[in-house]
Amino acid sequence: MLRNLVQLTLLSVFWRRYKSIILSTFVLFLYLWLIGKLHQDYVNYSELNSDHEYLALSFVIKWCAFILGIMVYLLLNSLFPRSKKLVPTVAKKNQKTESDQDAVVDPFAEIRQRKKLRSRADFIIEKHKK
Amino acid sequence: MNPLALVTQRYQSAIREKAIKRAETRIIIAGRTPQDFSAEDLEIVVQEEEDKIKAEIKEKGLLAVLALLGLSWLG
Repeated sequence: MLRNLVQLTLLSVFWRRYKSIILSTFVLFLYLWLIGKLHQDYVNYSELNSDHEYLALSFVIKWCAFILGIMVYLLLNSLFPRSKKLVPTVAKKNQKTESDQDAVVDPFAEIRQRKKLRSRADFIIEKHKK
Repeated sequence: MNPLALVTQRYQSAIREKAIKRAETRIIIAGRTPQDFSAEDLEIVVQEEEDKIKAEIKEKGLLAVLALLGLSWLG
């Protein structure tokens, strides 16, 4: 009972978070499978007809199609990594911070930009260095 | 564009935002406002909160792994 509940919760969280990646990966595998099937059919057909004129070219085309599909997949997932649901929340956050900055100067603005924050010990060491 | 770098950047900024929120709450509970503090003091407070969050994540991650093993997830 508890195990099923945990599994369902994790699956739903996983699905909501990575829906676009899961779907695009599924489409990629479908595409690769389809290309492979088409090529296999062509190879069988050429063997039946004993016509091997374009067989080598068909392999080149197949691998070009594979590489093209994978490149499109990588480009789509690296250029648009966020799902649709995440974009409005990020936009909202940015709007909120901008409006806050307009109203009152945000004391944490500089901290947000910093790559690594310094601890009390770091400040003490810095003062002693000076 | 490195997708892994994007993920880590988003992860870092989410932790930073959470730490800032916690620092603000801590300051308000103490009866002060963030404007009362210098930039250095605010940085120290946020840094402390960030360390706490990271420690919590590590602890929770370990618990999650133990829970998964205990529940025999794949069995």
